[in-house]
Amino acid sequence: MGQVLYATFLENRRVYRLAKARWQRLFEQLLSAKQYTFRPFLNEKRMDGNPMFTAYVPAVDRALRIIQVDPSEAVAELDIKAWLDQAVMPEREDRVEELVIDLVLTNEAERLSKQLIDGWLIQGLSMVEMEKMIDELVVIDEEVSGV
Amino acid sequence: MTKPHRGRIQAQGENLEESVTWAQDEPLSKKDGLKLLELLKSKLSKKELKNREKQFKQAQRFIENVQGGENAPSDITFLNRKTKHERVDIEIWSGTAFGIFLLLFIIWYLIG
Repeated sequence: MGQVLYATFLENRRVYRLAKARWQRLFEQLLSAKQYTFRPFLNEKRMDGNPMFTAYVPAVDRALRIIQVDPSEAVAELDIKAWLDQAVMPEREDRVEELVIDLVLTNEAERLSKQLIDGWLIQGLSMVEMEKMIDELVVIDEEVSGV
Repeated sequence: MTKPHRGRIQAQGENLEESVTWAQDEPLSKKDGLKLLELLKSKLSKKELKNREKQFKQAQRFIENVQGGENAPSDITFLNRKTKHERVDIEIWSGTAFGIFLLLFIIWYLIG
């Protein structure tokens, strides 16, 4: 596996805050091109990485959730999963389309995350296009999937 | 009228979307949360359950270990990392869940 970034984030609160700040910066950089604003939409008080970072982007009415996993839970060299879901917004009745990325944070996993976030929020890919992008970028080892 | 404490526990994946929900006037207790988790498990086939065995245990541990209740909005995902996205989700849509509210009430009542 590539070098895990912020590997001790679950044991050290300072490391946790640094990891969270990295997501914040990454997200701000990605969205700056379109000058989109965003805000967290879930309770992120627990410092367990689940979720590590959430953002609702009003301009595109879409949401993003990042789950950062303990490196000891890794099942592959490059351990990143992604799927589309529907997020509940506290102030509204309907649901918001959400991209969820679940990963062990390495440079390569971060690079793929950027591509996924770009497709979802900047390019505004359709659900079908996004599913295709996820299938292309996030490869599951069939031998370990067992499903 | 909408109840103040609402949420859902869901088992999801490629070919599955099964859930149990709550909507009530008082916060959902840990005990009732664990009951709902068992109810959800009972709705799954053996294979669906096997694919989420560890994730149900993680969800159970989460409910048992919550300190002082988990506040909405909250969405906690326990993913089978060997699969594409077979998982168990705990969603707290409004209010609070998984506190030891009855115990606190009794202590408050006794002190009062």
